[in-house]
Amino acid sequence: MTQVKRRKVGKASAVTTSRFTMYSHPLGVRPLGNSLAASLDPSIQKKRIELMGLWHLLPDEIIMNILGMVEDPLDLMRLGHASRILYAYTYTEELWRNMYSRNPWELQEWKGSWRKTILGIDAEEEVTILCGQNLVCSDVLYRPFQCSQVSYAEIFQSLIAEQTQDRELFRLTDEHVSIQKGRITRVKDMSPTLFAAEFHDTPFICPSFDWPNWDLDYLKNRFPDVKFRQESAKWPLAVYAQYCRKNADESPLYLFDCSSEAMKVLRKEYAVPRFSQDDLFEVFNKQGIECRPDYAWIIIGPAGSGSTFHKDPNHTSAWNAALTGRKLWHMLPHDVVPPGVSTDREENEVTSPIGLAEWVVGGFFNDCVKLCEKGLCQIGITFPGECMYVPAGWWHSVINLDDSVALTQNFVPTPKLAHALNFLKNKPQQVSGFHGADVRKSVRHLLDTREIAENKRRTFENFLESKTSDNNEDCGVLTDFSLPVLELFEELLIANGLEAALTKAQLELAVLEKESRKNEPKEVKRNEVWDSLVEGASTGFSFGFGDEEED
Amino acid sequence: MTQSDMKVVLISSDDERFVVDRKVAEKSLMIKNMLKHVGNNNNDDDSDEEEDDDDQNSEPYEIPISSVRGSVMKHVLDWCEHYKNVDFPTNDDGDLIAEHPVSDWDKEFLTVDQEMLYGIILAANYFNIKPLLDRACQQVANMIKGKSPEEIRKTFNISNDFTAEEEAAIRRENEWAEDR
Repeated sequence: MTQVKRRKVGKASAVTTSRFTMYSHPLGVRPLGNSLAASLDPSIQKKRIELMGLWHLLPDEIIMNILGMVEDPLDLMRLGHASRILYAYTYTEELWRNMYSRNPWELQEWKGSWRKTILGIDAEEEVTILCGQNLVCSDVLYRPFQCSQVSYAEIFQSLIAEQTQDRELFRLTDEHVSIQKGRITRVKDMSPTLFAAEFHDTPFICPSFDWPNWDLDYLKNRFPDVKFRQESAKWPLAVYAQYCRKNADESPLYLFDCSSEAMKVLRKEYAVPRFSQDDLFEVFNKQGIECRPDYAWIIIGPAGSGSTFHKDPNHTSAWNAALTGRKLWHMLPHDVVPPGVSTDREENEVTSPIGLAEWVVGGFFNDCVKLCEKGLCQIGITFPGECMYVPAGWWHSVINLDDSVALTQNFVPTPKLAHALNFLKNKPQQVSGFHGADVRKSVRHLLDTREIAENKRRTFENFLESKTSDNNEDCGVLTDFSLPVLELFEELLIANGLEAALTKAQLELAVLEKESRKNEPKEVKRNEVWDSLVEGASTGFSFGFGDEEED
Repeated sequence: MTQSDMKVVLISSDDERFVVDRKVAEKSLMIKNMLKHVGNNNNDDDSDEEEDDDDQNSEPYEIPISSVRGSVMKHVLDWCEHYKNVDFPTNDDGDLIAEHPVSDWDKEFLTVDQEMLYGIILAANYFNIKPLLDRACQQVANMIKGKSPEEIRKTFNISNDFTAEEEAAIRRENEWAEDR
């Protein structure tokens, strides 16, 4: 049994966020709190009404709603040119960013802001029209700006100091060291055996596996014209590099790419960590089968970018190697809903209503620190050359403390097979990343090359006859999901000589299902309704898909 | 009395009384939520005896709406009446899930003076009638289309206090953007 030693260094709460700086808005917009002073001054009120005209009748939220409906950039610009106050309203970056996202085009140059880029004006040509004297006091305008200015390296300085020390201690010892309760453990040598025995359900950080030290400049010089995927955009890397250097976005555009020409090349230039070589989803990409959901990504983002809380798709685990830039991680076990997040019971809908900056500024990070003290949350920082393991089903969010380049891959290790089967079987509506036409080809190939038990053969044949299989949309965006992914996965495991692992996992799965039935709340839920319907099906009434009972 | 033939009385800020079918009033999510526990064919609330008793009372349900005046209320309720049989599904955030094309009837309905239009927007916002709010906001956005800053000022009764330098800079920015 490996020992995880903890050294008490200080109180855990010492890592809560430092005081936030209030930044002054480039046009002089002030937070709403200042409106009290303004309201006492009739001359300001009068001026506001003059400069806003009839728009002064509307609250800020509605004004922004209307401005968000303007489709032509020139219309939005000219409205801003109508008066000093309207200039401040139309200056909001989010309006221009959304305008671009609704109708993206190929961008040749990033000019420092969405407004300048879309209007095609250089920095020195853009007007600066100030709104002095508390003329505009609005949280709707001020808050996104404030959030875009947050310096994480500054407000997380105590956590950064603690983690730097943790890492130094770790380098000097051979032990698994975790400096504090609620911090992610660092492990020096994660062998596949140790991983399978003790660590597959625990986040951990392990040091360099000779990761390449690519940074954005290096990649930009190597692939300047290659287009990478950044959320709704797909820009040449040189343009995205301009964006990273200067933007005023609250949640900066995050590059997440798996399929660019560059990534096809780069994937041959690094080796995956040893502990992740046991990857059962490889069967979807072997022996003539090609329907594995995308799983290997390069991630690039400026300081302040990151991901809000989520669980990785299809109940896969992941590793994430920081090549440049530090990343702050928050991780919670599957049954602890993160602060600031709401979800329905089945987690079909996950709502993180706010961006990372507002999440931190709003105090939710500090709530996480409190959960750490109760052992319900773990936080940690990966430094360049360090790799994070994200166990399947764990909630996590990431904040880039610096400009960052990272590699990540999703995988399904054998100890997580039962959970993966459980997910494919019992949360089919959440399965994503499989494409109908690819699954169809794979199923056909399997039918042509393998002996398959009668009941499964029929499931596959029914699927091939159905319409769904023609559609190559990601199944995650289809409403009536009906790809036989579970059956295919099971057959492929058998085809790859992994029947023993499958049988073992199926026994575990039976236990998991029993457990989850026991834990279900008393009221009637969909699953029970479903069970009763399926029960009905075996006594004469048929939906035409329940062939598992028929043998 | 059943839920569907129940009447609701909305009282405007200027004390005008509007008697409408519950179904019409419930185009407003705000009122719908308010009436959630009122009415006898509300299947998820049959345990609550007391509230069921209220329904025996044949007095229509009165709701004072102190932030909407009668002239605007009449307009909004006309819209609700027109769309009483149309379902506008929304997600948890209250955003419309499907797009509903703006009909000729809507265009006609929203052809009102600006004061009334803003009144409708504020009322739709207060009542939480998202499809009406969206359409009315779109109407305002359309009023900007293709107008010069000077025309926009005229349309919305805006005066401006730009300095000569600012005016010149704005003209430059404008030329720059239009020349692309």
